[in-house]
Amino acid sequence: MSLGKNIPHDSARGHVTGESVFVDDRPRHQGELLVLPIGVPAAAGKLKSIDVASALKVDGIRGFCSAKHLAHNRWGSIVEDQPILVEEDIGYFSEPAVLLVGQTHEALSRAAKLVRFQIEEAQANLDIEQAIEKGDFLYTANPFVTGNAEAALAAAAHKLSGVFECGGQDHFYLESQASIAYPLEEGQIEVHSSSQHPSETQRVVAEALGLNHHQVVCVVKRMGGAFGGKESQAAPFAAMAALVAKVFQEPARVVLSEDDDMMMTGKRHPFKNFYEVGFDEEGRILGLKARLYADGGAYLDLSPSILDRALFHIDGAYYLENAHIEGFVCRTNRPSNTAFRGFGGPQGLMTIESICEDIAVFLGKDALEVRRLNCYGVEERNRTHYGQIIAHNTLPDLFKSLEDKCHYRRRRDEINEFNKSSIGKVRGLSVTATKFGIAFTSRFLNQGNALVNIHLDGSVQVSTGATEMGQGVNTKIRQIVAHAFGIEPAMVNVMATSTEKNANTSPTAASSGSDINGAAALMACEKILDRLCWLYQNILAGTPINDNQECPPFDVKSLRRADFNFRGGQIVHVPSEKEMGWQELVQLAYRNRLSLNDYAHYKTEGLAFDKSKSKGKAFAYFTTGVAASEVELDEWTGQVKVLRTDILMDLGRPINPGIDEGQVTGAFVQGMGWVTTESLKTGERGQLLTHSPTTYKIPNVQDVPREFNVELIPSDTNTQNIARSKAVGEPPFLLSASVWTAVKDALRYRHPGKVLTLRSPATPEEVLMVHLSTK
Amino acid sequence: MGAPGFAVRGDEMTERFRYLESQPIEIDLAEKKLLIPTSIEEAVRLKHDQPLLRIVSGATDLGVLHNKGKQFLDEALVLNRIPMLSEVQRRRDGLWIGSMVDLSRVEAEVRTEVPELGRLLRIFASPQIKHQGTLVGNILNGSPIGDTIPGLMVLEAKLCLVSASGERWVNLVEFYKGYKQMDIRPEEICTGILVPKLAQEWAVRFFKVSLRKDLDISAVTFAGMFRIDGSRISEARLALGGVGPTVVRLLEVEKQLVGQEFTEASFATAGETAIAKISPISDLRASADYRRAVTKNLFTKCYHEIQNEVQA
Repeated sequence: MSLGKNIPHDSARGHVTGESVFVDDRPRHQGELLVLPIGVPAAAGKLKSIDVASALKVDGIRGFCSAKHLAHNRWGSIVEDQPILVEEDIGYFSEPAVLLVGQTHEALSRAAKLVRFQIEEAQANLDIEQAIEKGDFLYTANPFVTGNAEAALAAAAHKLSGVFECGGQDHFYLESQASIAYPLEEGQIEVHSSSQHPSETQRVVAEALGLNHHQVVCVVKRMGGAFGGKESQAAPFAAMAALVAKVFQEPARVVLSEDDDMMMTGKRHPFKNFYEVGFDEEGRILGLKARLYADGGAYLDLSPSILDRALFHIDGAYYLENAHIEGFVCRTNRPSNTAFRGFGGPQGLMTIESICEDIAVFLGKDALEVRRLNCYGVEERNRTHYGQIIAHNTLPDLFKSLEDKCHYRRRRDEINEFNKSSIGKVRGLSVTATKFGIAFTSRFLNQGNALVNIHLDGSVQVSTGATEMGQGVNTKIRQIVAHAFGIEPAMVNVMATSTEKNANTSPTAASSGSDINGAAALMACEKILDRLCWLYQNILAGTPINDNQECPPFDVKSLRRADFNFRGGQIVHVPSEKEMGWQELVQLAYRNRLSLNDYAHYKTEGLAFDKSKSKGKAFAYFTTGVAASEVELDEWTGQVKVLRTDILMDLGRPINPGIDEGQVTGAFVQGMGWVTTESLKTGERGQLLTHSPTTYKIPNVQDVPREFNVELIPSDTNTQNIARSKAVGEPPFLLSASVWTAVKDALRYRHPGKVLTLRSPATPEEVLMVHLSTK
Repeated sequence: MGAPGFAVRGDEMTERFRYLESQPIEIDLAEKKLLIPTSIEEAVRLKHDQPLLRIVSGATDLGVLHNKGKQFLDEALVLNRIPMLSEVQRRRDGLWIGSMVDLSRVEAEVRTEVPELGRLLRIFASPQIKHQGTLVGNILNGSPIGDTIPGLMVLEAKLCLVSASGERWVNLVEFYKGYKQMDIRPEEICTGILVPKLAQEWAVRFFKVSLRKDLDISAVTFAGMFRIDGSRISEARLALGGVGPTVVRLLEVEKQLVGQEFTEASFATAGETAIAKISPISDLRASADYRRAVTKNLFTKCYHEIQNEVQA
């Protein structure tokens, strides 16, 4: 019985001892080459020539590769619009244009300084406003329309209009983009990549080199963090390694420095959202009109799906009877912004959470009251603005329960008192929610496959398309398989992800890794279990099984599957209570030539979203939760301290509650960084200036809320998903909005009745300047 | 001696390590050179002969530049085998901190003498960095936002510089001449810093304002020391970092404060005077406007914190 148990993460020990192997830990082969991509020193214009002559003279440099060496120089998950290496048109500052190839890092660093580019620089477009003005959009979403927003606004007792603006965010994975390519015989390539999407990495590598897909294998053992940054953007770096491997016929390694990684890869999309909201005397939202503008960067990447998800999540946890939501992806001269935990959801949700806070200020009410008033209902007011009914809605209960558990009322009174007498410090408290739709909004991605091999000692190897990035998908799959076979989790190993075992897989993304791949693994287990039950059924029926006679061929019609179960390392025939040991059964199956291996394909059922109308069932289910955060602002410096956060989530029946709690706390703190200190700054020419931890500030251990309570509610209604669990990777990220709204709440005490425009992140500077400007 | 580790007894091995530790090291390859002397005289001689030789102590800054390939440490002089440089001494005239003393130790040592400096060091950096980095390194790096500098400036700390021609002392207040320009000659070595003992009771406040509260490089740093007789300020010392090319001592503002009533108004006026005298820039850490606004506010914050302390 492994489901629901807190077994340790399968790499917990290895990560601590250093035994875990990441791409750059792989031993270097003799002759292996290091590859350093060099980016262009301009954000826009034309690249005329690259002079590597002096660079090549540096000791230890073996050569270079450029766009000319590539068979196919375009990639992209949705549209192939992005070059792997710049040919002529420059999309963004530091866009890779040439690969230096050498034997040591030092040689490459010295040579890098000697590469000269001849560029006709053009004016770079670096902001959303400019793109809006020019109408320079990479993608325009099909609007989400429900009811009649125009009429509702006209009729509403009160109206507010405003802008919500949020910044980007660097993924800041500890392991940068990394790939090693090994040239094999007959032009084949094996590439080990830190990639969330081995199938796409395989495809991009093959196409870049002019190979068929079957000539390339992509292997992913694990990633040292990814967060979406390695969903699409791992592929071009793998292609660079593969190109050098092909040209030089030696293994080739690309491991970006943190600085290069930050400068060369896309981030979370900054958004600028304009809205108009109408509401009644009590604060009930009657109509919402919004236009969402995302900074897509230079190329399309995954921006359309990310923008769509922002449109899907602009409702937050609140019922919108009348809404008209539009969305645009702006083209700018920045690296293509890309997937990042939440995938546009946070940028949509923050808008409505900000609106809730403002309505409360405007009406002089407590913001939690406004939220509870607008919260989706269980039986009514439970249809989203895209027409999906929220089944088994736990949001009203979560709000109520958290209000009690965190002593919201008492603490509100205490904060009121504190703020009255305090000098230089002001506190705020706010509750926000998450209702994250689970499924890829591109329907075809909601599929996965798994391979399960039982060996003769009864131990099991499982391979799926899921990639392990620290989130614990391997551990969960291990538990699912061990549970199915009724054996100890230690008897199951989840193997490195490889495209030769699992092909045509989806990225490990959209929080769906365990859902999809766990379900596929279980299906493969079930197929084997059927045969094992068949065998035992025949043994119990007295069919002689010996060297002369074999178990009759498997016949599903005669199988009484329900009579058997697997637990404690035994197969049990329930009616007779007869048992046989797992290992013995496995060996008998082998001797009877019954396959101990199987493969299964899974697809998420019941999705029915009509993109042309923006209506229908887009998601299999929702993961919900609420958070209450209390902050203290230093009124003299604008610095924000998170004093306490309480989180309550509905994660169904967690497969591994410990791992899920880790995901909740990790996502929340990562989100806190996005809404407080993580600030990306770009120079006038479009170069990223905050490209290292010296200037780019993720939260550290001292920033974790002083008091941090996480609780999961008992919930077993999610029949939509494997073992009634719920996806967890992204949903809690959105709860970090509570820190930002708590900052707004704190400012409210010093500016009563005034609707303030606060941008995210609420850096000390942003907070102080808003505080001072409205005094 | 037999095979390492097996034939040698523990104490013999320790002794052998001790001996090895007391020996100077000189590694001179074609392109790289590492010199580790064991006496200050030897170090001074090396610096005299090769004034461009870079002294590396904690390498918390230079190490990063090297790793990033921005500045290669092809030649380095390391002073960690000179025992006297790692000493902390309580002298009659103050607290002496040798140039190789790491920040963790400083944090622990100053707790009684200058608790405010200890408090600042707590949020200065992670334990790993503080075990590695040195106080004198922070000073000699010459950054206008060196976190320890304003505090040491108002404490009127002095640096001891030695060279083949002898020893000289420089007040920290006079040490910085311009952005990353300091009153130290290439052939000189700083052996440590003396933090004078405070004769009377002072109210001391050091602030560090950064994007992230802990372990971040500051946008603005503030140090203020005051003696309050009755209701009046009888002495004041003020220094600011992050508001110009070097950390600055605000002598005029100090003069203005002396004799004033110890009130919020006096500090607010001082803050106004201070921001008229500084020329902060906008950079990645903060805009000039924010730096000015914060600087002004820190005077008020300082007043209130001292006021609370007095009341408590």
